Amino acid sequence: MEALKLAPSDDCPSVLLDKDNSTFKISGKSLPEDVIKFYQPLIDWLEEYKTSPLEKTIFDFKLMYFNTASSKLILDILLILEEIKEGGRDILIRWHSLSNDEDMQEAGEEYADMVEVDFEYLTYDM
Amino acid sequence: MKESKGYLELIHKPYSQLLAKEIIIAFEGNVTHQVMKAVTSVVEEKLEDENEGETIQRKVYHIMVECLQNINRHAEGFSIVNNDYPGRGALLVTVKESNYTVTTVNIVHNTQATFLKNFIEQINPLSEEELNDMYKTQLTEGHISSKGGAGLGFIDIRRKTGNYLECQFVKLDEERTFFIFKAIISR
Repeated sequence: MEALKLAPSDDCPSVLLDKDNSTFKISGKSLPEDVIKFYQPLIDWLEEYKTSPLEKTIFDFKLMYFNTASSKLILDILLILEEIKEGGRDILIRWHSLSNDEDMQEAGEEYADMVEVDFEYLTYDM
Repeated sequence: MKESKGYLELIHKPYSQLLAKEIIIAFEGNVTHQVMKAVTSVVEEKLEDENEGETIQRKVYHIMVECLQNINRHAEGFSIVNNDYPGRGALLVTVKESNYTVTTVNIVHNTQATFLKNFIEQINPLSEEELNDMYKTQLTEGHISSKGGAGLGFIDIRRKTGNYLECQFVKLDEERTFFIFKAIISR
């Protein structure tokens, strides 16, 4: 399955969805002008991945900032990952926040309440 | 056709009483996505220069993005002597010892004004827990609108600031109303 790679910009995160290298990562800022246009390729990629996922998928979210419109699409991604788990595969979400960004950590905890997948919380410094 | 005064006129009284050092930015014009990015980065830099705490910086940034994207998506046009100004709005960001304020002005249809007034009155008295529940419900059940919003902005501004949202409505004509919105971020 071909990897999906998107370079970051000042309003869109970098994306790497690469089954061959077991790397699934979204990082940076997310406040695109058109959230659907930006996230649809990720959703499509994950829908295809769902049909033959790895035994274990570790998905890293390392977002510095996301707007409320993006938060809806992030939930859509998590819901696809939840379906993969329901299909009997392992899913782990690694939710990264800056060590002093409690709101970002809480946003992860909020998602963890909404989907049945395991979350691990990690912090980093700039 | 009636000539309109600038939108900043609507927040003129508080504006005229401000000291230069209290004004972080005052902007009026078409709020495009590019303008939103430029204006928010000006404020980001200014707050960084002032050594404002990172938590407050992030809150101010977040609230500005949500407010300006609201204008970008929802501001109605207003024809001024054959010139149309859709997506037009004004923004004022101020700082005082105890808080930052983000004030925006844009034109909405009267029906939208009624909806906004009721919605803000509905979320203001809610507790933190009730706001979190409402946010989650809207996140799960809501859809991205044709204009690209998720219906989460005001709820999120209310819970991120912990302060009541302030709004004022000034009727423009039979169809349209100026919507003046203010969020306060305590320091």
